[in-house]
Amino acid sequence: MMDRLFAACGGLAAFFLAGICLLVLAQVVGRLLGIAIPSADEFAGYCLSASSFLALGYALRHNSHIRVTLLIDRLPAGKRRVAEGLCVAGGLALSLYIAANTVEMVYYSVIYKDLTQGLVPVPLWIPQSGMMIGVIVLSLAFLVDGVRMLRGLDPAYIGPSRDVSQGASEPGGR
Amino acid sequence: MDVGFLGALLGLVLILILAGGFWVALSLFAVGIFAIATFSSAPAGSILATTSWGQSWSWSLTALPLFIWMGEILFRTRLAEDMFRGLAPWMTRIPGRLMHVNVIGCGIFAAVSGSSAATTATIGRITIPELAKRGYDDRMSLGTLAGSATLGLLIPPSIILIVYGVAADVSISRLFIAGVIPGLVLIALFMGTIIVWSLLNPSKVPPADIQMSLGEKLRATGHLIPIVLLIVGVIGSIYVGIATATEAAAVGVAGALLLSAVTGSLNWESFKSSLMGATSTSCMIAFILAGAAFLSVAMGFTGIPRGLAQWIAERQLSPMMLLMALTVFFALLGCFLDGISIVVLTVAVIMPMVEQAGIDLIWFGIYIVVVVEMSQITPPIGLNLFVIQALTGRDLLYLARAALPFFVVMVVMVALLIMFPEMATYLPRQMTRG
Repeated sequence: MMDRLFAACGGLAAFFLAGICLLVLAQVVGRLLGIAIPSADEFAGYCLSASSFLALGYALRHNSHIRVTLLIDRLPAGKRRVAEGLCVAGGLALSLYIAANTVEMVYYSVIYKDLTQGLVPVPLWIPQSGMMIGVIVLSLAFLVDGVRMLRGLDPAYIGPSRDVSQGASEPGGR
Repeated sequence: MDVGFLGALLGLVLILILAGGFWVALSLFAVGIFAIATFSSAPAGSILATTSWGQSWSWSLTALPLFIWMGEILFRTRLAEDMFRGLAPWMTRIPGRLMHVNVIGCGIFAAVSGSSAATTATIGRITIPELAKRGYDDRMSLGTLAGSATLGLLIPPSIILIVYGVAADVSISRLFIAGVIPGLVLIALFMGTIIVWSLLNPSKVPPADIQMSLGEKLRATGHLIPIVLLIVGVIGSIYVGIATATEAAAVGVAGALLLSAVTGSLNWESFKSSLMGATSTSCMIAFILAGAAFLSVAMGFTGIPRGLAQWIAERQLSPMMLLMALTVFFALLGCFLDGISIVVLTVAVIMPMVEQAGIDLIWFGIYIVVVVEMSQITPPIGLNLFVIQALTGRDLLYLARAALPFFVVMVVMVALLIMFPEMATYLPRQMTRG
């Protein structure tokens, strides 16, 4: 059930990423034809924000978030588990903190009826809700991992390590 | 409380949680919250939410996922095979022969992909078996691959330059163009190293085995025309100013999709995996950038960056001395942190110091990337080495030794960059737009 939620958010994030590409392409083509697409830059930015945050849970699941495992890899299994437990607990606490503050930010955007500043103003909470949903889903992902650890399992992000030769999805500057 | 003491404390907290395996992006947030809470009564939470939001939709950052996606698409094409077939016939006369395919191949792939890991994997997949089959010295061929794959970071489009540009608020188009000449110089240095090495070790280079007429050579190279057009289109349009980096990236994605459709490697499966791969990677980087943006603001509350800048000003430290100190510092950081984290941490903490010393920010971007490149091929955290290890199953230390000559070449490159800063600053100055 939860797996499906993370996959769905990942899919939605991918959709927004493709959306950036389409918006920018439309803008380029439009310029060649002499048609200006209002606020295309701004909407591409909102797509980026939605894409980045919605993928957070999915990326955690796929162990895409960078961390330094140099030292904890050397720990014996028992201590390693303690370290992972602390990481998951810290991740849960911090993501809840971020989520709570994002909800508050969106709440104020709604009650003050803030609008975006571009040529086509839309209520600010609409683009902001991508971030809100994304960080809530990240908290859920940490919660699921916490429950898994309490049940004696490994957190879900520790899967079989990905074979780098099979995919280019490694960060650029690592 | 004393700024120096608290700065050291914050640094210690950061090192501690990073070493404990806590995610880099979340660590940046955590230290930022800690910094605001100790130094001021400002509401850390709402500052966090608004800076993260503000950073997340910045227009210049939209180039990032698009360039990542473009690399992911091309990674799944037959590009690397074509590259070997098209380049090999021309290299047989140069001392070192096919080892130069590693350098040029990486240089070309770097010009369509912003990641050195992707460059290593794509080119290495083809050249490692081909060179081994022909009896090239194992250590030198793996070393050339590890070294030249770092070009992915320097030659535009470069993911890490986008990260630097967004974090330091420097034009990404100009940064890209600034990377061109240093990238070409580095290619020349790598090829020079191979030539010198093979003149010293003639027994380790097998004889030429490709006999082709000029016509055949040209036909083999003809397969590379689409990719060259793509490179010229993307980098050229940024340079002459008809496209922003983001627009060039979107056109690049379209071109890459077209290219993979024409060569028959585009299907729903490869499309989906390229898009999902790009989504995860860009999410990871964007989250780090959000954390870094928050940390920068938090650092402003502490006064640490100002203090550092002042300290530099009082000591009258020359830019040269500062750069030497920073190079050593980054080399140490590179032993346990990845390039993106180094760049964002640098920008959050030492940017005022660099500006105070009168260092050009575009030049500094190129400099920091070359230094980060060095750490790609040094243990214990050298991603290029990890990728080659996955490809060959070789021991990490063996690979690090193989890459050592190229590490030395990069140290030379840093020295050259400091002595001749025009390498990075000349081309961007000629740009009228961007």
